[in-house]
Amino acid sequence: MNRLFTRSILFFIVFLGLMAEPAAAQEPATSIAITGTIINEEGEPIPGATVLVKGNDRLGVATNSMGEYKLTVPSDATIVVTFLGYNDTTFEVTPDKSDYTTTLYQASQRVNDVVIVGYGELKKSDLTGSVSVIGERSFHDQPVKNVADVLQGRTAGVEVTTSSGMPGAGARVRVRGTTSINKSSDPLYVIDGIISSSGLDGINPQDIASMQILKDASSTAVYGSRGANGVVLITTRTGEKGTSRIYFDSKIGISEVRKNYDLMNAYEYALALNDIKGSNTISPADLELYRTGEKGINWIDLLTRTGITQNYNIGATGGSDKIRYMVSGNVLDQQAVTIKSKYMRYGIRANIDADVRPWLSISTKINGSVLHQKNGAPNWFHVLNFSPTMEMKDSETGIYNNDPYNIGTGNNPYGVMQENYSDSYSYNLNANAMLLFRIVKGLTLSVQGGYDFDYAPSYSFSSSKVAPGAKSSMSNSAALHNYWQNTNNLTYSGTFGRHTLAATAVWELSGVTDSSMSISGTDLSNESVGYWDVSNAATRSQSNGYSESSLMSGIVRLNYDYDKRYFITAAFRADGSSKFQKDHRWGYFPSAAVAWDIAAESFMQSQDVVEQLKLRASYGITGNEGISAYNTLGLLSKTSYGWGTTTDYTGYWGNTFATPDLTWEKTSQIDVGLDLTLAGVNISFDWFRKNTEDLLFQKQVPLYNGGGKYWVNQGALQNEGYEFSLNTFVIDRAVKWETTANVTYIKNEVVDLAGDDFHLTANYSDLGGEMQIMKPGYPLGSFYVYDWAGFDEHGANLYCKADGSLTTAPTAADRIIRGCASPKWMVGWNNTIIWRNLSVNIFFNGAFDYDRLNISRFTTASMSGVSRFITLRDAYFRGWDYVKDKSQALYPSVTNTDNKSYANSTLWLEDASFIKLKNISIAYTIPRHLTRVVDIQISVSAQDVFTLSKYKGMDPEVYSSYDGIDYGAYPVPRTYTVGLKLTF
Amino acid sequence: MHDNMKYKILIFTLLSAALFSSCVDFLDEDAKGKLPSDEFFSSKNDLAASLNSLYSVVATSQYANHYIGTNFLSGDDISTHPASNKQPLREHDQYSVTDNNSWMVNLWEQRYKVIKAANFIINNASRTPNVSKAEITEAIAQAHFWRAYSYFYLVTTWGEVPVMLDEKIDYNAPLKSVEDIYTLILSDLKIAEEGCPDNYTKAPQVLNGMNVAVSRGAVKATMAYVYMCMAGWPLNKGVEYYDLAAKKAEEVIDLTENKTYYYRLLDNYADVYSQAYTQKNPEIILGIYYNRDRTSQMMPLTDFLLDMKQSGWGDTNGEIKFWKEFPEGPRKEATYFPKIMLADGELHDWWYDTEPASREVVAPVFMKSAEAAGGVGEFDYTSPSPGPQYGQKTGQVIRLSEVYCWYAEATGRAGRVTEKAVDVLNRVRNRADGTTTNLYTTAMSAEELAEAAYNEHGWEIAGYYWCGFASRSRDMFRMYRLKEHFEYRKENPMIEVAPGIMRNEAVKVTGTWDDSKMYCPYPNTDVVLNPGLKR
Repeated sequence: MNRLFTRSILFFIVFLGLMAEPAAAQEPATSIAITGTIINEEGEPIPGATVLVKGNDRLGVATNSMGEYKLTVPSDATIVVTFLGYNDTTFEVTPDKSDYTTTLYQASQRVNDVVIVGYGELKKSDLTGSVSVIGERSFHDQPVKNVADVLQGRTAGVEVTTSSGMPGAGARVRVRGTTSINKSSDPLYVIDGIISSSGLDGINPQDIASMQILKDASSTAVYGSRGANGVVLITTRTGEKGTSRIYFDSKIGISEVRKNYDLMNAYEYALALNDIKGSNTISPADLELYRTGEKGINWIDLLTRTGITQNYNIGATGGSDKIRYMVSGNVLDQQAVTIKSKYMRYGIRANIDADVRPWLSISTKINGSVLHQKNGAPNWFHVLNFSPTMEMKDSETGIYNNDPYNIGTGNNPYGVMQENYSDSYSYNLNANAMLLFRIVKGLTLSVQGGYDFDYAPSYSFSSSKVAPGAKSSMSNSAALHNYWQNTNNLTYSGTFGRHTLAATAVWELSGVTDSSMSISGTDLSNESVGYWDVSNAATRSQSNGYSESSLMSGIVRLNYDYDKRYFITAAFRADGSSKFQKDHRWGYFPSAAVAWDIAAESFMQSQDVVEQLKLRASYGITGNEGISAYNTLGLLSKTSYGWGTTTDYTGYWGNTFATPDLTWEKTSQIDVGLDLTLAGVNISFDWFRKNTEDLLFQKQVPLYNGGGKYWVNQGALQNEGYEFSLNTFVIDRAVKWETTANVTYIKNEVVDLAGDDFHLTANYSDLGGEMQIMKPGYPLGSFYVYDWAGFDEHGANLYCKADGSLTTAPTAADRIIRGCASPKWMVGWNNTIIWRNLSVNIFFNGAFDYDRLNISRFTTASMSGVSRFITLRDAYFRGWDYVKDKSQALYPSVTNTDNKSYANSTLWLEDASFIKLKNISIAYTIPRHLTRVVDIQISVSAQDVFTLSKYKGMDPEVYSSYDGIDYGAYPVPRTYTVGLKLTF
Repeated sequence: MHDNMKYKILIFTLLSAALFSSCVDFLDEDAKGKLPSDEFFSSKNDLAASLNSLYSVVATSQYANHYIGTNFLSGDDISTHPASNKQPLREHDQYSVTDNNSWMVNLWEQRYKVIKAANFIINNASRTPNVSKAEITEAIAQAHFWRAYSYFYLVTTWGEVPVMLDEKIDYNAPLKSVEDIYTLILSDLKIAEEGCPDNYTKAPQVLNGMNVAVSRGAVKATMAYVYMCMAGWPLNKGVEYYDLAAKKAEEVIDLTENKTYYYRLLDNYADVYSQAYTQKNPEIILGIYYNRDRTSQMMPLTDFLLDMKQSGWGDTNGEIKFWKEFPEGPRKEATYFPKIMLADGELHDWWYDTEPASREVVAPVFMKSAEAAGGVGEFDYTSPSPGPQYGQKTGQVIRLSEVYCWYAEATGRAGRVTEKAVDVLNRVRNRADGTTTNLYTTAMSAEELAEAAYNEHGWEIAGYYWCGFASRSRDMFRMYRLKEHFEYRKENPMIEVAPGIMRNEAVKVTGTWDDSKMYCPYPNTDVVLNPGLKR
C-alpha cells in the first residue's frame, strides 16, 4: 500500500513535468484570416464551440456568444469544429473565401454514446447487457446534494429509498431487488475504476459526468464476488479540449417539515389525563394555565425550524489536445429542519488527463473531502410522545425533567438537543492514477492504482442536566480506513472485415484495513470541558480494534460482433477472499450474453423509421462476500463488569460460534431485453430473474443455547421483474420538451430458509414481539401482524384468531402475514422543457404496492411498554372512551383492563404507496452576448413539493428500523431553492 | 529511443504491479487483537477474565424486572397496574400468561445466557496452565453454582426445560424431566459447595469485606431452599427433603455462630435495604453488586405509582390483603411507603382517593427499590424529587434472615419443634417488631412453627421481587398455594383498610384454575425453532 502511494505520487510528479514541457509554436508558411459562424440545425448560433486547425490544435479558438470566431490559418488548412453533444464537422479553407458558416448537427444520443462498462467501455449500440445510463443532463440543473439523489427515480431497475430526511443520512439503494438477507444488498459503487470503499458521501454530484448502472449478470459478473447487487459506475467529469470554462454556482434553499401529526395541545392533553388517569392528575390551577396557554409545551414547535441550505460550487475545465483538466471546489452547508443539527461538506477535486507520448496516456483523479455532521437528529419518537403538560426544567437546579405521564425511559428531547452535543467528521481522500500503454495497434495495457483513505473521528458530550440523576459523559472515537486497489488490464481490440473483437484480461488485487480507537468517560467533575478532557471524567473506558481483509481476482472477457448485427460477450472471473477459510476461499463467476440488432440487417435498410431493434439475452453468476473479516472464526465476546465498583474488569466468554465452512453467496441471473429506437423514441425493455442461493444467512440460535445468530450458507431468494424505460423529445422545435419515463416491477420471494418453515425478525419485545417474517413463498420485508378486527363491546381491541373466531387476547400463533416493506412498482418521470434561454424541469417519482408499519402512530395512540399515555388528538377525541356513539370510535379504550395493544397489528400497518413531485425548477440564462463576459443562469426550484399518499405518518418513504418500520423516522423536508450560476 | 523508453516504463510498471501479488499469505486472516476460543484459558489472567465475564452476564441477567422478576407477580404480595403498559406483568398477576408475553422471553433467555457463560468455564477452564488446582477448582465451582441457580429458576418457572451442558447448538433439544433437572442442580451445587471458599480474600471478589462472588455459605443456603422446593410441589418429596433442608440451613447458622462466616443480622430493619449499607451489608449471603458508573441496575422507578409526584413507572404495587395482614412495626414501615406524595405535592395515605373516585391504582406502595435523587444519600419519601432511572442498590439474592426462616420452616415441616428453630425465628421477628417480643415459643405445634416461618419469610422479602431468590410467589408455588390465591383474586372482596374505607384489587382475575397455571408457557420465539418445546 505504501508502495502504491509512493507510485501515485511519482506518477503525478512525472506528469507535472510533462505539463511544463514548453510549447513549440509553429508559424504557418502562408496564412489567411478567416471569420465564421457556427450554428445548429435551427440556425441558432452555438457559443463556445471549438474551431481548430486539423493537425495543429494549438491553433484554435472558441466561438463567442454569437457563435462567431476569427482565426488566422494556413491557406490550405482543414478546419475541425467540435461541440459537446454534436457531431464533429470539418471543412477545407479555400484561399478565395474568408467567411464560413458551419452547421453542426446534434449527435444522436442513444446510438453513439459511449457507455462505460466494467473494465472497459463500449458504444451503447454494441451493448449486449442491461446497463442504464444517467447522463449529466438529467440532473445537472437540479439542486441534488448527494449521489443517491441522482439515482432516485431516474432509471429503471433502481430502487432508492430515502430512509431519513436528516441531512447527511444515507439512502437504501437496490438494483433489481434485495438479493441477500443478512448481508448487504447495496450495489457496488465504482468511481473511475476504483471500488468505493468508504461510501459516496464525499462525492460532489456536480463533479459527476455520468453514472452507469450495470444490472444484468453479463455486465456485473466481471465484478464477480461483489457484483450480485448490481454495480453503479460513476464517471467524474474531465476537461474538454479547447474550451476553457470557469464556473461559479451557488444555491440557497430553505427547508421545512412537510407534514405533522395532529397531536393534542397541552390543555386537551391535561383534560385527557384527568379523564383517564384521575381527576387530580392535573390540578385545577394548572389546568387553567394550560387553557390560557401560559403553560404547556409544543414539542414539535420547539424542536423544528426552517433549515437553510447553502451549496457553492466553483470550478474550471479545459485543456489542449494533449492535456485536459477539471478542477472543482464545493461547499455544502445543510441545516436540518430540527434544531441544532447540520451537515457540512467541503470538497476539492482535480482530474487531469494527459497524452504524454503517442503510446502513453496518464490519468490522475484526486478527490478530497471533509464531512462534518454536527449533532444528531432528535428522537422523533420522543418528540411525538412527550407530554405537553409538564415542566420543562426544575426551576432550582435547571435540570430538564423526564416525562411524568408518558415516556417512561427516555430523556427530555429538548433538553437533549440543548445540553448535549456531538461532532462527527470524515476526512476522505480518493486518489487514482492510471497509465495507459498503447503497445501495438489494438493492444493496450492499463495499470491503475487507487487509494481510498478515510479518517473519521467523532466526539460527543452528554450533560448531567438532561435528566434528574443523569450523569455527564463524553467520548472521542476515531476510525481509520485504508483501501487500496491495483488493477492491470490488458485489452486487445481489432476489426477484421465484418468481425469486431475485443478481448480483455485483468489481474486485480485489493486490500482494506480498518482500525479504531475510542475513549469515553462518565461523571465529569466540570462539564465545561465538554468532550475534550477525558481525565476530567471520574470513570473512563477505552477500546480499540483492527481488521483487515483482501481480495485477489482474475478476469477474462471477450466481446465479439459480426457486422454490428450479431453480438456475443463472454466473461469469467475468479475471486479469492480472505474472509473465508482456506478451502472455501475461491469463487468462480462465469457469464455470457448475445444480442441481435435486427435494424442492422440488410432487409431493414430500406426503411428509416426503426433505427435500432436489438434483442438481448444474458446469463451469469455473481457473488456476495459481504461478511466482515474474521466472521468465520468464532472469536470470544468481550464483557465488562465492575463487581460493584467503578473499576472496569474485562471478561471474555464464548458467545459466538465458529463457521469454518462458510463460503460465497451466489446469484445467478437471466435477462432478456429489447432496445428499440423508433421514430426518435428510445425504448428499452427488460425481463430478468435473479436467483440467490447459498445465502450468507444468520440463523437464529435458540435462546436456550444463549440466543444470538450464526452464519450459514443456506437459503435461497428470487427476484423477478420487468423494466421499461422511454426517452424522447416530445417537442423538438424552438421549444424542446424531453421526457424520460421509467417503470420497474419487482417481485421478491423467499424460496428457502435453510429448510426452516419461517424466521421471525424485527423483534420489539415491549411492543408486541416479532413484527416481520421471512417465509418461503413470501417477499422479504413481509409484516407479521395480529389481524385487528375492531373493538369489543367494552372498547378493547379484537383480533382474529387463526380459526377465524375473535378474541381480545390473541396468542403469538394468531399472527398473519400481511403487506410488505418493499415496493413492487416504482416509477420515475423526468421532464425538461427548454425554450430559448428558459428551461424547466419537472420530476416525479413514485412507489406503489408496499406498506409501512407505523409504530410512531401506534405509540401516540396507545399505552404501550414505551409510551404510557396517548398524544394523538384522534386517539382521545375519537377514542372509544370519549365518543358517545361507540360505532364512531377509531381508537380503542385506554381504560379497559382487558385491552391489549400490539404495534404489530393490521391497525397500524399502512399502505405507503406514494407519488412525489421531487423537483420542479425553472432556470433562465442570460447569455454572454448580453452581459459581455459571462453566462448568468438564475434558477428557482422546489424539492419534495408534495406527496400524494394515504400514509398517515409524516412521510411514506422514510423508516427508522429493520425493513419499513417507522418508529420515529425522520421525514424528508420540503425545500425551496434559488440558484445563481455564472459561467465565464 | 521512444520505443526503448516505452518498454522500460512498461516493464517497470509491470514489476511494481507484480510486487502486490508477491505476498504468499495474501489471503490468510490474522485477527489481530481478537481471541479465538481455543487459545483462551492459557493463563491465570484468562481464568480471572472468564469469571469477570460470568459475573457480568449474571449481573446483566438480573439488572431489571423484565429480565428477572415478572413471574413473581403471581404471589399474593404483589400486583400491578390494571391498564397502562403493564400487560406483560399483568398476565402473571392474572395467572393467564401467553406465549407471546414480551417480558417472559427475557426471563428465559437470560437464565440460559448465564448457563452458557458457566458452561464455557466448566468445560474449558481446567486446561489453564500454571495455575494451582485450587484456583481452577474455585473458578469451576462458581460456574457450577450459577448454572444450578439458573436451572432452579427455569425448573420453578417452566417445569420441564431443555438442559444444555455444552456449547453446541441443538434445534431438537428435548425437555428434561423436573426430577432430572433437580438432580443436575444438586450435583452442581455439591461441586460448588466443595469448591467455593468460605470467604474470598482478594478484590474484586471482596468489596468492603463482603463476598461479592458466591461463597460456600451462599451455596449451602441455596441448597437449603432447593431441598425445600423439592420437598414441595411438584415432586412432593416431603419430610426427607425438609430434613435435608433443615440440615443445610443449620450448617449456615452454625458456621455463622462460630464466626467462620461474617454474616449477622443488622439491628434495624430499615438499614437492610438502605443506601448506607448497600455495599457493606453483613446480612447478605449472596448479592449482585451494581454501580451506576459501570454496571448499573434499572430498578429505582419501578414501584412508584404513575400518579405519584416522583413520577415512577407504576410497574408493581402491594396487594391489599397481604398489606393488611403484615404485622405493624419497623419492618412494615421500611417495606411500604408510610405515605405517598401525589401530583398535588401533598402526602396522602395510600388508600386516598378523590370523590368521586379517580385514581387508577389505589394500593400500598413498596419502597425497597427506591433510590434518592441523584443516587446520593438515603431515599426520603417526603421529598418530591424524582429518583434516577438507573440505580446501584445491591441485588439481595439471599439474606441471613431468610435462612433463619427456612430453617424454622423446614424443621417444622419435618415434624419437629426445636429451641434453635424457635430462637432464630424470634430473631427475625424481634427485629421486625423493633423490640424483643419473642413471639414464638416451643409451645407451638410443628405446623404452627412452619406456617409462622413461612409467613415471616414472606414479610421479610415482600416487595423485593427482582433479585430475591426465594420470592413469596416461589414459596406459594412449592406449597401449592397459588390456586387458593387465584380463587381469592377472582372473588376480589372489599377490604377495610382504614376505618370505614373499603378497597380491593384493581387488576381483575377471571377464568378457571388448572395446574398449567403453575407454569409459564414456553416462549414462542423458541417454540418456533424447536417445536418439541411443548407440554
